[in-house]
Amino acid sequence: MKKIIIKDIFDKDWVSREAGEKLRNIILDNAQDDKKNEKMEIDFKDMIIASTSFFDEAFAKLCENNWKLEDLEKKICFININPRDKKLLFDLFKRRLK
Amino acid sequence: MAFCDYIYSVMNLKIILPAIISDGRLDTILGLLSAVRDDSFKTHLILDWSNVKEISPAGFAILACVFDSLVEQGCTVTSKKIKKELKEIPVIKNFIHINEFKNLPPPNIHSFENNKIILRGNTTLVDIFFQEYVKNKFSFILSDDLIYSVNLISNELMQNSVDHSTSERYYIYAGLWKNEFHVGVLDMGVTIPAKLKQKYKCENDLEYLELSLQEGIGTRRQRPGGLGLSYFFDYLKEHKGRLTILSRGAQIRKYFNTRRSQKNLLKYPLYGTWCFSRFNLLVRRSA
Repeated sequence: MKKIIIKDIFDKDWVSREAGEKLRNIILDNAQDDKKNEKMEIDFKDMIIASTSFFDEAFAKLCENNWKLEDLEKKICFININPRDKKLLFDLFKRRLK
Repeated sequence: MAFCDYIYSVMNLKIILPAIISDGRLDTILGLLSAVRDDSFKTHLILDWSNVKEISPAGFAILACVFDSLVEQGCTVTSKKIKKELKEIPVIKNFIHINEFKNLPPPNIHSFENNKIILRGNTTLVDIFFQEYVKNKFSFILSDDLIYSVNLISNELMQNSVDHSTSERYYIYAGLWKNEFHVGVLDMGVTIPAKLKQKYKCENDLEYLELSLQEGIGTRRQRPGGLGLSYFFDYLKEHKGRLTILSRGAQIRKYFNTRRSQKNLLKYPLYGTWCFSRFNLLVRRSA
């Protein structure tokens, strides 16, 4: 299972659209390479993101690659995510789906 | 009056600063910023600080913007009657020495914090550590919910300033003021009306500013804008807050406790964008 630790990869920027785009590309690359259909772990340990720009770019924009809400739940395991961040992330995803 | 005194008096512009420097009444400050940009500006500015009794968290950021504008316009300034307790605050200390600055100093020259306020002057990047400062300093009084709201709002405002204003510097502040918590971002870059004019056509700056607060409005071509703003409003509503935005020729003040708004064209334009938000700390959230 591929594991991404946000704190390690985004130690200098976890707020901007650019950082979000970087994470989305990692997610898409992993989904493409993943032959076993394994879940990807994204670990938000010690992080509070609180950025619509980051979440919109990283996750909500997956809609443009035909991701549905079920895909987000099926393909990604969110670990140590702040409950407010999780709510914001899913809310932004649903808005994009509309 | 001796002739040299007369010449001296007509070449000077004297401004008496208000008793409270804050995001409340801004006429004097905006008048000052307008006057120094005017071609007919006198050669020397006298700032009289004798009335200044209080400076809110936003007030320090406002003073930092004023300082930058005065240096940019090459004004010589004499600050008079500054109270002793204010003299040690970096932005005010910088005013005392303003004539030594021939070019704009880095914005962090004004950065400071005390037990109630954080002011940070930043350049072209979002200050990712700001939320850490807010948490460390104010977690004793702010709920986790409110800290999250403040973080989200400060991130949105910084992101907007960095993305759109191209001012290369902005000031972000947060702090306690009476029964409120204040947070905001100020820049002297490309204004909201100027930016929106590239994509939309409105009658005046107030219409542009009102337009900017609608969901789906933005200057990006590839995605709807204003997404962050709708969350921003939700959090302010939840905490019965208040939002003030000034950009170029207009201002909007939204009072979320009464659902009242005050919108008007400014007497003196602001060549920048100032966003101030306030949260009422006495509000108990409904379950």
